[in-house]
Amino acid sequence: MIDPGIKRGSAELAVLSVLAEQPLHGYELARRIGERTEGVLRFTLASLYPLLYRLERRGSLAGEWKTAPNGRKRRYYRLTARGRRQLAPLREQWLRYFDALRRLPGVADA
Amino acid sequence: MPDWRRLVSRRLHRLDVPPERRDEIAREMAGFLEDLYAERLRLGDSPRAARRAAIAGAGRWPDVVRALERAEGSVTHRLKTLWLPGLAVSVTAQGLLLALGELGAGGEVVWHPPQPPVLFFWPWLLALPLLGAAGAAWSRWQGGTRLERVLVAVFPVLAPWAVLFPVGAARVLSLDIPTSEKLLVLLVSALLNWVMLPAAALFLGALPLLRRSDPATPAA
Repeated sequence: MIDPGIKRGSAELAVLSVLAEQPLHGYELARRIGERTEGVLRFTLASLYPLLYRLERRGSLAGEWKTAPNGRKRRYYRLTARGRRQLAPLREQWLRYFDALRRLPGVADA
Repeated sequence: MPDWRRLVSRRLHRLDVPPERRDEIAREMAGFLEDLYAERLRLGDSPRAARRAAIAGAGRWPDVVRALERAEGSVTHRLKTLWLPGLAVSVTAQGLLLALGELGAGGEVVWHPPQPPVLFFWPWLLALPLLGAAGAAWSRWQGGTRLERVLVAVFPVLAPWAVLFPVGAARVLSLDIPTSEKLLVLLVSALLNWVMLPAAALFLGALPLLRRSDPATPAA
Protein backbone atom coordinates (compact mmCIF):
# COMPACT_ATOMS: atom_id res chain seq x y z
CA MET A 1 0.00 0.00 0.00
CA ILE A 2 1.47 3.34 -1.08
CA ASP A 3 0.62 6.51 0.84
CA PRO A 4 -1.78 8.77 -1.16
CA GLY A 5 0.54 11.78 -0.67
CA ILE A 6 3.41 10.00 -2.39
CA LYS A 7 1.09 8.81 -5.14
CA ARG A 8 -0.14 12.35 -5.79
CA GLY A 9 3.38 13.68 -6.16
CA SER A 10 4.36 10.93 -8.57
CA ALA A 11 1.19 11.15 -10.68
CA GLU A 12 2.49 14.07 -12.70
CA LEU A 13 5.73 12.23 -13.47
CA ALA A 14 3.78 9.15 -14.52
CA VAL A 15 1.49 11.08 -16.87
CA LEU A 16 4.28 13.08 -18.48
CA SER A 17 6.54 10.02 -18.85
CA VAL A 18 3.92 7.86 -20.55
CA LEU A 19 2.77 10.67 -22.83
CA ALA A 20 6.40 11.32 -23.80
CA GLU A 21 6.21 8.03 -25.73
CA GLN A 22 3.03 8.74 -27.67
CA PRO A 23 -0.22 10.72 -27.49
CA LEU A 24 -3.00 8.89 -25.66
CA HIS A 25 -6.57 9.53 -24.57
CA GLY A 26 -7.51 9.55 -20.87
CA TYR A 27 -8.67 5.99 -20.48
CA GLU A 28 -5.77 4.50 -22.43
CA LEU A 29 -3.32 6.64 -20.47
CA ALA A 30 -4.76 5.46 -17.12
CA ARG A 31 -4.78 1.85 -18.32
CA ARG A 32 -1.19 2.02 -19.48
CA ILE A 33 0.09 3.61 -16.25
CA GLY A 34 -1.73 0.94 -14.23
CA GLU A 35 -0.23 -1.79 -16.41
CA ARG A 36 3.34 -0.43 -16.31
CA THR A 37 3.31 0.09 -12.54
CA GLU A 38 1.62 -3.29 -11.98
CA GLY A 39 -1.36 -1.62 -10.42
CA VAL A 40 0.58 0.48 -7.90
CA LEU A 41 -0.45 3.71 -9.64
CA ARG A 42 -4.10 3.62 -10.63
CA PHE A 43 -6.00 6.59 -11.92
CA THR A 44 -9.71 7.14 -11.59
CA LEU A 45 -11.82 9.70 -13.37
CA ALA A 46 -11.50 11.96 -10.32
CA SER A 47 -7.73 11.80 -10.12
CA LEU A 48 -6.87 11.75 -13.82
CA TYR A 49 -8.83 14.57 -15.46
CA PRO A 50 -8.11 17.36 -12.96
CA LEU A 51 -4.42 16.53 -13.39
CA LEU A 52 -4.65 16.47 -17.18
CA TYR A 53 -6.50 19.80 -17.23
CA ARG A 54 -4.00 21.37 -14.85
CA LEU A 55 -1.09 20.20 -17.00
CA GLU A 56 -2.89 21.44 -20.10
CA ARG A 57 -3.50 24.86 -18.55
CA ARG A 58 0.17 24.99 -17.61
CA GLY A 59 1.12 24.30 -21.21
CA SER A 60 2.77 20.92 -20.54
CA LEU A 61 0.12 19.02 -22.52
CA ALA A 62 -2.08 19.75 -25.52
CA GLY A 63 -5.38 17.96 -26.10
CA GLU A 64 -7.03 17.23 -29.44
CA TRP A 65 -10.20 15.33 -30.39
CA LYS A 66 -9.47 12.37 -32.67
CA THR A 67 -11.13 9.13 -33.67
CA ALA A 68 -9.94 6.23 -31.50
CA PRO A 69 -9.41 2.68 -32.91
CA ASN A 70 -12.90 1.75 -31.62
CA GLY A 71 -14.39 4.44 -33.86
CA ARG A 72 -15.31 6.75 -31.00
CA LYS A 73 -14.13 10.33 -30.62
CA ARG A 74 -11.63 10.71 -27.82
CA ARG A 75 -9.47 13.58 -26.65
CA TYR A 76 -5.83 12.68 -27.16
CA TYR A 77 -3.14 14.33 -25.09
CA ARG A 78 0.38 14.90 -26.29
CA LEU A 79 3.40 16.32 -24.53
CA THR A 80 4.29 19.83 -25.69
CA ALA A 81 7.83 21.14 -26.03
CA ARG A 82 7.35 22.82 -22.68
CA GLY A 83 6.21 19.54 -21.15
CA ARG A 84 9.33 17.81 -22.46
CA ARG A 85 11.50 20.48 -20.91
CA GLN A 86 9.70 20.01 -17.57
CA LEU A 87 9.95 16.23 -17.67
CA ALA A 88 13.76 15.98 -17.61
CA PRO A 89 14.30 17.86 -14.28
CA LEU A 90 11.24 16.15 -12.80
CA ARG A 91 12.74 12.72 -13.56
CA GLU A 92 16.04 13.88 -12.14
CA GLN A 93 14.38 15.06 -8.90
CA TRP A 94 12.56 11.76 -8.43
CA LEU A 95 15.72 9.73 -9.12
CA ARG A 96 17.61 11.77 -6.53
CA TYR A 97 14.74 11.29 -4.11
CA PHE A 98 14.71 7.50 -4.57
CA ASP A 99 18.49 7.43 -4.36
CA ALA A 100 18.41 9.35 -1.07
CA LEU A 101 15.80 6.98 0.35
CA ARG A 102 17.89 3.96 -0.62
CA ARG A 103 20.76 5.29 1.48
CA LEU A 104 18.66 5.23 4.64
CA PRO A 105 19.21 2.27 6.95
CA GLY A 106 16.84 -0.55 6.27
CA VAL A 107 15.25 0.99 3.16
CA ALA A 108 17.49 -0.59 0.50
CA ASP A 109 16.92 -4.05 1.96
CA ALA A 110 13.20 -3.55 2.48
CA MET B 1 -25.23 0.59 -23.43
CA PRO B 2 -25.77 3.19 -20.67
CA ASP B 3 -26.05 6.81 -21.73
CA TRP B 4 -22.77 7.89 -20.15
CA ARG B 5 -22.91 11.38 -21.57
CA ARG B 6 -26.25 12.02 -19.89
CA LEU B 7 -25.08 10.51 -16.62
CA VAL B 8 -21.90 12.60 -16.50
CA SER B 9 -23.68 15.79 -17.60
CA ARG B 10 -26.16 15.37 -14.77
CA ARG B 11 -23.36 14.87 -12.23
CA LEU B 12 -21.44 17.88 -13.51
CA HIS B 13 -24.35 20.32 -13.70
CA ARG B 14 -22.94 22.28 -10.75
CA LEU B 15 -19.46 22.53 -12.25
CA ASP B 16 -18.62 26.22 -12.31
CA VAL B 17 -17.08 26.59 -15.79
CA PRO B 18 -18.49 28.06 -19.04
CA PRO B 19 -21.23 25.81 -20.51
CA GLU B 20 -19.20 24.86 -23.61
CA ARG B 21 -16.29 23.80 -21.42
CA ARG B 22 -18.62 21.81 -19.17
CA ASP B 23 -19.98 20.00 -22.24
CA GLU B 24 -16.49 19.18 -23.42
CA ILE B 25 -15.47 17.83 -20.00
CA ALA B 26 -18.68 15.77 -19.80
CA ARG B 27 -18.06 14.37 -23.27
CA GLU B 28 -14.50 13.42 -22.41
CA MET B 29 -15.38 11.83 -19.06
CA ALA B 30 -18.28 9.95 -20.63
CA GLY B 31 -15.75 8.49 -23.07
CA PHE B 32 -13.61 7.33 -20.15
CA LEU B 33 -16.57 5.59 -18.48
CA GLU B 34 -17.67 4.09 -21.79
CA ASP B 35 -14.20 2.56 -22.32
CA LEU B 36 -14.08 1.31 -18.74
CA TYR B 37 -17.52 -0.24 -19.14
CA ALA B 38 -16.53 -1.90 -22.43
CA GLU B 39 -13.40 -3.35 -20.86
CA ARG B 40 -15.33 -4.77 -17.92
CA LEU B 41 -17.70 -6.45 -20.37
CA ARG B 42 -14.72 -7.89 -22.25
CA LEU B 43 -13.40 -9.27 -18.97
CA GLY B 44 -16.67 -11.13 -18.48
CA ASP B 45 -18.71 -8.84 -16.24
CA SER B 46 -22.45 -8.69 -16.73
CA PRO B 47 -23.72 -5.36 -18.13
CA ARG B 48 -25.06 -4.51 -14.69
CA ALA B 49 -21.79 -5.32 -12.89
CA ALA B 50 -19.81 -3.47 -15.56
CA ARG B 51 -21.99 -0.40 -15.18
CA ARG B 52 -21.63 -0.50 -11.41
CA ALA B 53 -17.85 -0.87 -11.66
CA ALA B 54 -17.60 2.05 -14.09
CA ILE B 55 -19.65 4.32 -11.82
CA ALA B 56 -17.74 3.24 -8.72
CA GLY B 57 -14.47 3.95 -10.51
CA ALA B 58 -15.46 7.57 -10.95
CA GLY B 59 -15.25 8.28 -7.22
CA ARG B 60 -17.44 10.78 -5.34
CA TRP B 61 -18.90 13.28 -7.79
CA PRO B 62 -18.84 16.31 -5.47
CA ASP B 63 -15.09 15.65 -5.05
CA VAL B 64 -14.73 15.32 -8.82
CA VAL B 65 -16.48 18.66 -9.30
CA ARG B 66 -14.29 20.39 -6.69
CA ALA B 67 -11.09 18.94 -8.15
CA LEU B 68 -12.14 20.00 -11.64
CA GLU B 69 -12.95 23.53 -10.48
CA ARG B 70 -9.52 23.82 -8.88
CA ALA B 71 -7.86 22.48 -12.02
CA GLU B 72 -9.86 24.82 -14.25
CA GLY B 73 -9.03 27.80 -12.07
CA SER B 74 -12.72 28.47 -11.29
CA VAL B 75 -12.02 29.22 -7.62
CA THR B 76 -9.43 31.85 -8.48
CA HIS B 77 -11.74 33.18 -11.16
CA ARG B 78 -14.61 33.62 -8.68
CA LEU B 79 -12.27 35.34 -6.27
CA LYS B 80 -11.51 37.90 -8.97
CA THR B 81 -15.01 38.30 -10.35
CA LEU B 82 -17.01 38.19 -7.10
CA TRP B 83 -15.29 38.18 -3.73
CA LEU B 84 -12.54 40.77 -4.21
CA PRO B 85 -14.66 43.43 -5.94
CA GLY B 86 -17.59 42.68 -3.62
CA LEU B 87 -15.50 43.14 -0.48
CA ALA B 88 -13.89 46.28 -1.88
CA VAL B 89 -17.30 47.82 -2.65
CA SER B 90 -18.54 46.89 0.85
CA VAL B 91 -15.54 48.38 2.64
CA THR B 92 -15.77 51.55 0.55
CA ALA B 93 -19.50 51.88 1.24
CA GLN B 94 -18.99 51.52 4.99
CA GLY B 95 -16.02 53.89 4.95
CA LEU B 96 -18.03 56.44 3.02
CA LEU B 97 -20.90 56.21 5.50
CA LEU B 98 -18.53 56.85 8.40
CA ALA B 99 -16.73 59.68 6.60
CA LEU B 100 -19.98 61.43 5.71
CA GLY B 101 -21.11 61.09 9.32
CA GLU B 102 -17.85 62.68 10.50
CA LEU B 103 -18.33 65.54 8.02
CA GLY B 104 -21.81 66.16 9.34
CA ALA B 105 -23.42 65.02 6.10
CA GLY B 106 -24.98 61.95 7.64
CA GLY B 107 -28.65 61.30 7.81
CA GLU B 108 -31.96 63.08 7.96
CA VAL B 109 -34.61 61.98 10.38
CA VAL B 110 -38.09 61.68 8.96
CA TRP B 111 -40.53 61.27 11.78
CA HIS B 112 -44.28 61.31 11.65
CA PRO B 113 -45.42 60.40 15.17
CA PRO B 114 -46.76 58.02 16.28
CA GLN B 115 -44.75 56.11 13.64
CA PRO B 116 -41.13 55.39 14.59
CA PRO B 117 -38.48 57.70 13.13
CA VAL B 118 -36.84 56.76 9.85
CA LEU B 119 -33.28 57.87 9.19
CA PHE B 120 -32.43 58.57 5.55
CA PHE B 121 -28.76 58.84 4.67
CA TRP B 122 -29.30 60.93 1.56
CA PRO B 123 -25.67 61.81 0.69
CA TRP B 124 -24.67 58.18 1.17
CA LEU B 125 -27.61 56.87 -0.82
CA LEU B 126 -26.80 59.29 -3.63
CA ALA B 127 -23.21 58.04 -3.74
CA LEU B 128 -24.16 54.36 -3.80
CA PRO B 129 -25.04 54.14 -7.53
CA LEU B 130 -21.45 55.15 -8.29
CA LEU B 131 -20.14 52.39 -6.04
CA GLY B 132 -22.52 49.85 -7.57
CA ALA B 133 -21.34 50.86 -11.03
CA ALA B 134 -17.68 50.64 -10.00
CA GLY B 135 -18.16 47.15 -8.53
CA ALA B 136 -20.07 45.85 -11.56
CA ALA B 137 -17.45 47.35 -13.90
CA TRP B 138 -14.65 45.68 -11.94
CA SER B 139 -16.41 42.32 -12.06
CA ARG B 140 -17.10 42.67 -15.81
CA TRP B 141 -13.49 43.62 -16.46
CA GLN B 142 -12.42 40.40 -14.73
CA GLY B 143 -14.86 38.36 -16.83
CA GLY B 144 -17.73 38.25 -14.33
CA THR B 145 -21.12 36.97 -15.46
CA ARG B 146 -24.22 39.15 -15.29
CA LEU B 147 -25.23 37.53 -11.98
CA GLU B 148 -21.77 38.10 -10.50
CA ARG B 149 -21.91 41.78 -11.53
CA VAL B 150 -25.26 42.17 -9.77
CA LEU B 151 -23.99 40.40 -6.66
CA VAL B 152 -20.85 42.55 -6.53
CA ALA B 153 -22.92 45.73 -6.91
CA VAL B 154 -25.28 44.87 -4.04
CA PHE B 155 -22.58 43.24 -1.92
CA PRO B 156 -22.65 46.00 0.74
CA VAL B 157 -26.24 45.14 1.59
CA LEU B 158 -25.81 41.37 1.37
CA ALA B 159 -24.03 41.35 4.73
CA PRO B 160 -26.84 43.22 6.57
CA TRP B 161 -29.44 41.17 4.73
CA ALA B 162 -27.82 37.81 5.33
CA VAL B 163 -26.38 38.27 8.81
CA LEU B 164 -26.98 41.52 10.63
CA PHE B 165 -30.64 42.00 9.88
CA PRO B 166 -31.82 38.51 10.98
CA VAL B 167 -29.59 38.75 14.08
CA GLY B 168 -30.87 42.25 14.88
CA ALA B 169 -34.45 41.25 14.23
CA ALA B 170 -34.09 38.23 16.52
CA ARG B 171 -32.60 40.47 19.21
CA VAL B 172 -35.42 43.02 18.94
CA LEU B 173 -38.04 40.29 18.96
CA SER B 174 -36.48 38.84 22.08
CA LEU B 175 -36.97 42.16 23.93
CA ASP B 176 -40.06 42.59 26.01
CA ILE B 177 -41.85 45.21 23.92
CA PRO B 178 -45.61 45.05 24.32
CA THR B 179 -46.82 46.75 21.09
CA SER B 180 -46.13 44.31 18.30
CA GLU B 181 -47.39 46.64 15.55
CA LYS B 182 -44.82 49.32 16.42
CA LEU B 183 -42.12 46.69 16.52
CA LEU B 184 -43.07 45.49 13.09
CA VAL B 185 -42.91 49.03 11.72
CA LEU B 186 -39.49 49.43 13.32
CA LEU B 187 -38.23 46.29 11.63
CA VAL B 188 -39.69 47.26 8.28
CA SER B 189 -38.13 50.72 8.50
CA ALA B 190 -34.75 49.15 9.36
CA LEU B 191 -35.11 46.85 6.39
CA LEU B 192 -35.97 49.82 4.20
CA ASN B 193 -33.08 51.96 5.50
CA TRP B 194 -30.31 49.42 5.51
CA VAL B 195 -31.26 46.95 2.84
CA MET B 196 -33.92 47.98 0.33
CA LEU B 197 -32.95 51.58 -0.40
CA PRO B 198 -29.17 50.98 -0.52
CA ALA B 199 -29.74 47.86 -2.65
CA ALA B 200 -31.88 49.83 -5.08
CA ALA B 201 -29.29 52.62 -5.27
CA LEU B 202 -26.42 50.17 -5.84
CA PHE B 203 -28.38 48.17 -8.41
CA LEU B 204 -29.33 51.34 -10.26
CA GLY B 205 -25.67 52.16 -10.71
CA ALA B 206 -24.88 48.67 -11.97
CA LEU B 207 -27.75 48.58 -14.47
CA PRO B 208 -25.88 50.05 -17.47
CA LEU B 209 -23.17 47.44 -16.95
CA LEU B 210 -25.54 44.50 -17.13
CA ARG B 211 -26.57 44.95 -20.73
CA ARG B 212 -23.87 42.80 -22.30
CA SER B 213 -24.43 39.18 -21.32
CA ASP B 214 -20.98 38.13 -22.52
CA PRO B 215 -18.30 39.26 -20.12
CA ALA B 216 -15.38 41.32 -21.33
CA THR B 217 -12.06 39.57 -21.74
CA PRO B 218 -10.23 39.74 -18.45
CA ALA B 219 -7.15 41.89 -18.43
CA ALA B 220 -5.01 39.24 -16.75
